Amino acid sequence: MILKFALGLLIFCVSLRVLGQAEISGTWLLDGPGTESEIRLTQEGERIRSEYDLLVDDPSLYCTPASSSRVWANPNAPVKIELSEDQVLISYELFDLRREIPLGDESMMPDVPSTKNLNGVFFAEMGSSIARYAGNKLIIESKNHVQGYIRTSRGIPQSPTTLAIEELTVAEDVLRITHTYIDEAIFEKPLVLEYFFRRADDIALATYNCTDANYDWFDELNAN
Amino acid sequence: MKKYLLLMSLLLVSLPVASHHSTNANFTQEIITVEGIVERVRFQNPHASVLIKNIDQQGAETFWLIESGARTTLERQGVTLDLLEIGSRVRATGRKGRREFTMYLREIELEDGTVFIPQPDLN
Repeated sequence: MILKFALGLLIFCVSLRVLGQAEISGTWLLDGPGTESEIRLTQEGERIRSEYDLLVDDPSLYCTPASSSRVWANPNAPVKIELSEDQVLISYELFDLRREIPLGDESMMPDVPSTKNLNGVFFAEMGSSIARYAGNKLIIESKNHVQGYIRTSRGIPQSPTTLAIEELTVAEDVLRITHTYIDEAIFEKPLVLEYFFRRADDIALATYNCTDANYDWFDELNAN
Repeated sequence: MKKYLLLMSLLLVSLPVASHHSTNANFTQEIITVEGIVERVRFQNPHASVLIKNIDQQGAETFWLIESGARTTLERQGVTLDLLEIGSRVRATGRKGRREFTMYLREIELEDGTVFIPQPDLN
């Protein structure tokens, strides 16, 4: 009797967990501006931030993702999450990015960046990633970044030593993603961002075909 | 009498600005209006844009780049920029850019008085 009850409870819990994980699948749209923790930069972090010129240094101007959190935080651009037994595939309409993340432990960490666009160009700004489940939560850990910007509006940087942790959960059809950035070279304490998404399974991702901003031609018009 | 073309009136949810680069960072809250001739229309990602040439009373020419949302977002909302004819005179109103002679479009008035608002949710 007790065994049957325990077995039933186990099946119930596993079902809940699998259902919770499955809920993360689908297409999502950013819903609202999100939140951020206090940003406390180290001297090096402050140096990079102070040298940042929004009109020139924002990687987005060159169709390059500035960081994983910045790509998530793009209004009106759907993001599709597909879960399989051995990997997580995240497709971002923005810049036509495809992020293939193996499920597993540290030994599964790929040597190459996990993100590329439809032309096959890799973007180390998004790092190399592995994913795992913790109950209903999908956790993505990324490292091996190149210099990028977590906040492009203010030049809040990431560096090659940045560890980025994304935690995804779904409750009542709301996807919540918490980004935690840990980097002692840049931050005196971890930077935590949180975003919410609403389900948008009726929206198909379009091909983005990004065109570099390149304002040179415009500047030349007014220079003449 | 001006006709207001609310091409996105069926849009159910008010959304922030679609932008690959941060609109709030790249454009001030100052609202400006510029008149000129449409020189070029680019319906593309990450930003659709209209280039207009303004000629002041002294005859000096200034080109203004009027930016709007992403092509994919506008298309999804049923918006095109087909109304904007090359060579036509327009009057654009929007947020002044931090980059000189740029603006984030709120509305654009055509020669016949038609007012085109590509993203009503921003107004």
